[in-house]
Amino acid sequence: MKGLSEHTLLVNAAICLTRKSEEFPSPLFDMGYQLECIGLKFSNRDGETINPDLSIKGDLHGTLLLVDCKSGGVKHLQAARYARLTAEDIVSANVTSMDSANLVLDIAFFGTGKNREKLIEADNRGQYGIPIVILDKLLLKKDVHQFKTQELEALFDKGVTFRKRIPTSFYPFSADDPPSYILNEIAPFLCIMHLQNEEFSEDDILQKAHPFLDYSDDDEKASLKGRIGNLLSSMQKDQDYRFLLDKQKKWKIDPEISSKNLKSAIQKFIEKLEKSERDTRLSDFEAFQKTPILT
Amino acid sequence: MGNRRHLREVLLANLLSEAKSEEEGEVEYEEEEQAEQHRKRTKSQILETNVSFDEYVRRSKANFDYIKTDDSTLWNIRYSDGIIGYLDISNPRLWIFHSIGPAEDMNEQIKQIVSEDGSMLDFPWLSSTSLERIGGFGKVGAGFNLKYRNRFEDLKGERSVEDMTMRFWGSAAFELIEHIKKNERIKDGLSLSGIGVMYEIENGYVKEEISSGGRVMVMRGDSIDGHFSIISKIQTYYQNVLNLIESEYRFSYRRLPHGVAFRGNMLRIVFNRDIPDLEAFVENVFSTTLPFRLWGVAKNLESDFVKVKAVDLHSKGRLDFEIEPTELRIYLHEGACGNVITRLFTNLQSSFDAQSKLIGNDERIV
Repeated sequence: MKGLSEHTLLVNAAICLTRKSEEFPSPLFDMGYQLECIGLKFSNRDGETINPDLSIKGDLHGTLLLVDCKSGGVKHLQAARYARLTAEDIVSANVTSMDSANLVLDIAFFGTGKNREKLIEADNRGQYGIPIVILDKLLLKKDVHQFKTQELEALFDKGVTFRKRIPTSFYPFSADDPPSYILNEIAPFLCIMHLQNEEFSEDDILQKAHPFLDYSDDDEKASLKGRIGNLLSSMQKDQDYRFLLDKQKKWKIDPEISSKNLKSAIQKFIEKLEKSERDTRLSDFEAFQKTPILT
Repeated sequence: MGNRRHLREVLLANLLSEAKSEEEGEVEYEEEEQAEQHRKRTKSQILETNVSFDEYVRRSKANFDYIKTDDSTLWNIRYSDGIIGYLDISNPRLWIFHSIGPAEDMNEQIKQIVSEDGSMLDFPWLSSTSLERIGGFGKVGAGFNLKYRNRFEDLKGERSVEDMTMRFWGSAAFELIEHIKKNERIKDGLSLSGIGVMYEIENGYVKEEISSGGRVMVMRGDSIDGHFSIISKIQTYYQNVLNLIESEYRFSYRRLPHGVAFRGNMLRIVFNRDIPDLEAFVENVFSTTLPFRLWGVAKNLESDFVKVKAVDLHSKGRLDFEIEPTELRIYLHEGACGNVITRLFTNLQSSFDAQSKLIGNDERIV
């Protein structure tokens, strides 16, 4: 699927597995697992931050599954923390409603065919032993290492196939997403601010558009705020889209513009961004092609 | 009008006098539609709301005054020095506007109330499928209205479904509907806009016409309790639909010390025929105008897969769409009103595919 990051796609795919459905694969739901938290953030016993995307509890199996979705590779410090994390850390941090006795902790990195190599390389270097599950087109399948819980191992070893396009709307967006995707995601807030004739900041938009923001890591938060600020600035400066008024540290949509025209203006700007993203990808490709082949 | 007993008397007296005048006069069929607009039948409009009565009155800029009665949930509605109807707010989600005035006047008054910016009042949107279900409340059918207007007829390459209107009154109504459904050429346009029901209770009967916009009108009968009873059944049916949508499917977030607990799932509108031109379909549905009242910005994730981030202009609720040629997936965000789903579904049935289905996890919602 084009136009969104691997991270956003993977988080949505993983959430989908926990939703009851006949049209989409719901193996975790069918096995009695429940999505407990999105954006889990806690400290281990050494005071180090652990910040997986999802925690999924399986009371029937006594298993807590932590899923961390990756667009690129995995940093050594982060992977090493996961590798050292124990069920006792989970119990002492009080981050699950599960019975703490005999709790089994399973952790997985989710990646895609695009960043598989980076994840495997990192694992080879660090020998973390954490299962890596790869989404390749519509197949979500474990690549290396084993889950502790037999049912999870059987499930991901066999793989899960999506028969339809993977849902993308459970989890909104990440800092890895292209600007056109982020603008599309925040567009309803621009509409609502316009309807209510309110001024707003980047933080206001983020708080409303991203319910999981507070539990993202600080780099992600700062990056998202910066990206939204850049988007608004570039729209405001663009001669063709002068509906955004700069109110010193706040923004406001021109009250003179109609809802319909606001929609058209944002739609056109998304298309402009998409074109620019396509051109960038193309120029990257051409640069690669022009690199002299060393013999 | 001072209380519910008075309301009952006023509506019943009108019901009986209208029935009598109808028996006395004979009207040609061609004049029927025109005459119907002037007739002062006993009728009640169900209104969906998300605000308290006090909040509604505070927000409303329409020129209606609400005069209290002995009952705190019953109000006289005054307009230009005359009482034009009675508002029953005993069901806080689904109010009832009772009227004995001309139908055309009531239509205009309801339009004013509902279309007012920020009123937060809307029609209950009874899809063709819902009307069929409501038809089952009576022992026998009494008739139906069919109205299909293909809003997507200009889409390139689309198999044409022609605009259709039809009014049939007779006890064989349900058999006729089933018969029409078997016709491949016209079943996609078989969208009911009204259903007639012969409804009997212990002490009498009413023959009612129920519209897709939630108007319940007595065509004939002798029992005002029968009228109240069928309204109550429709309220219960519709409220159950809204409750199901809002409790099981609408997103909700609970902030915990370590993360966010999430609830919610997608809804799907599954079509009986493919959308031939996604771009034009999206442009049409999210044009911000009636009847959909949806503002939306689209992003193509594949050539035949579009994501639309939308706002319900009626309630300012947010919802996301993922659109494929065969279906819409809908994600209702926290705080959004379930009525936007029934509005969309009802209007898609009457303007694109009358055979479409609104589906939840593994259950048909409507």
